[in-house]
Amino acid sequence: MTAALEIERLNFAYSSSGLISSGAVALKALDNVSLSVEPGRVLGIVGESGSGKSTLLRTIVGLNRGYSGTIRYRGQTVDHAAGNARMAPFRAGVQMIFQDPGGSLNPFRTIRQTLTAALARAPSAAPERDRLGVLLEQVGMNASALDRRPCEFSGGQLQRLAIARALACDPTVFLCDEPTSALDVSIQAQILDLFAKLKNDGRAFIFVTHNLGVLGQIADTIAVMFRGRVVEVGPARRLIAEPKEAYTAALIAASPRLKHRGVLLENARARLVPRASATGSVL
Amino acid sequence: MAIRGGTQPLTGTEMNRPADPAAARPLLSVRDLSIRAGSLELVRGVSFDLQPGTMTALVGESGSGKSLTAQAILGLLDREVYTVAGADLRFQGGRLGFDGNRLPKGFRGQLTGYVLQDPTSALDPTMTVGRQIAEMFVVHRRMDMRSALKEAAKMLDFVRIPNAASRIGDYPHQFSGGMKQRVLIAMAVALSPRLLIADEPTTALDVTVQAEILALIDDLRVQLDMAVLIITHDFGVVYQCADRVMVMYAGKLVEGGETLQITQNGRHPYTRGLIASIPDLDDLDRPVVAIPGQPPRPESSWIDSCAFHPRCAWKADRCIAEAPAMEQLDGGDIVRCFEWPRVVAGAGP
Repeated sequence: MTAALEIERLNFAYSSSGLISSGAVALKALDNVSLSVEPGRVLGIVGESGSGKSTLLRTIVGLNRGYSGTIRYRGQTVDHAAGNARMAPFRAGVQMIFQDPGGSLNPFRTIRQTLTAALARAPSAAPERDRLGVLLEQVGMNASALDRRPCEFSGGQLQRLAIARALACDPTVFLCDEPTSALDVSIQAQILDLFAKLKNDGRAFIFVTHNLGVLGQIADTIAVMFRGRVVEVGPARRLIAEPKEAYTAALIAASPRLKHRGVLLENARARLVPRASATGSVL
Repeated sequence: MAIRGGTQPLTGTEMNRPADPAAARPLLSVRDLSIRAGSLELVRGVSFDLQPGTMTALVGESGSGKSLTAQAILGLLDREVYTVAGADLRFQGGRLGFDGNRLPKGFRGQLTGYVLQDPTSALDPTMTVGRQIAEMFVVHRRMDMRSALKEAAKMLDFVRIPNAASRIGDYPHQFSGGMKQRVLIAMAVALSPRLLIADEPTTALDVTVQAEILALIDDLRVQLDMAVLIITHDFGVVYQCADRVMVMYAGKLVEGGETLQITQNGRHPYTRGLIASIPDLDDLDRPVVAIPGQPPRPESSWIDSCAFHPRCAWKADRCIAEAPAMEQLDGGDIVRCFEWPRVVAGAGP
């Protein structure tokens, strides 16, 4: 099967200059990252702050220029510098969902205006009747939301609406950056259910989070990132049950869980948990 | 419904009575705390005790009133916005007012410490961390700055910041998030308080750093024989760290008790729902089950029914007709649900 999205030897560095460091210093945020995800599959990416998870997603959609390596969308190499005519299928077909549930919704626009604008980018030109109603139904909401503005919704509802906005473009790939981290746990489970449904429809996901438990539920494959590199990648259950890398094991040891009471503090006291930071400074 | 054997309706001071009558007097007793903002009832009738040297978790979703409860205890609520009503607060047996002005001198700082979620905004970016900690000693112990800075260095070392003596002259931006949280904890425990209130102290941190901070707080609890009230939404953290847990929903406590009991055999459908909605690393075959719907907004009226009934699979007619009172059970557990025996009996909803 052709991968929905494939990246090969992706490298990207942020250049920092001025305040913190004197002179320009390149900070390698992505170091030879190669990953791929097939339709109907979820690739989970886990790692700590500064490991390069978000940078990876931003680089894929073209928000970071000056990367090296190859990004292929449905077998075709993506050229972010190409014109909109060539890039339109990619831009509609790869949609991002952010941590801040209101972040992708214009606060001044009604939900109807936002969804209508997104629908205009969808590849299929044939407008179904009541497309807006269908979209809202797909995310577990109804048409009463259409004439309201983002400020009238709760965090979980906003995340549903953000997903509806992305769905309007009929995407092949969802890039999710901590999509449930700002939500309460009972709402998080609702959103995970929704993603599972979309996955069963054949959509591919790259799902970035720091929460291994969430990935254990939703991901088929998990990649562990540390200082810009993928240090381990494998089937989700195998990786959680039998991590091969010490860093993966440390992440698992530090995850609060509902069994083995007290083991979290014991692990922390025993310093089983190494310290990570992108800048390499010792915390 | 008849009152079940072994239970009795809860009245005022019987709440959370220790199972063992010889148990120590509670460090902090809160009775019937209610908080209003204008016409909105944000917290209603919250009562609990904290025992010395124990860690108690206060769990609930956004807007359930857990942070307001903590701020009310510390007298930190803006009195132009919030009204604290009908409350009785006792600390080491002595009665306190919820009014910030009537708190005894040194209640904040000396007797209680407070750690917030976001260490970056809680520290002054224009002041070295040494001076920020030293202020505690200057203000409360009337030390001169030179000796206070020496104490500050000891505190940084106490919270396990490497090379503490050389870092008291550093500014907050020179510390990582986890290290900043250690600095805040150092300030909070500088004067060996009897009570530490930590409001989501690890939510902004990576899991590895979270584990270290939780271990630090737990170690300090033992070393200083200090009660800890930790506010969190993460039942994993509760299960791993807390002796007791209280669950809050829509401004009311709905369940409380010993951690193992609550996490493994909770009585309230909301508690069970929260735990079922957490992905379990140890049992990936157990699907996460979402609680349908969403918490009520404070402006919605739930006075005459159980606030959880719209989301509850066990709801009965009575849950809509009247609001359940808190019941005191054997062993000091509390629960606010008409249907809990059915929930515990494992009868399907």
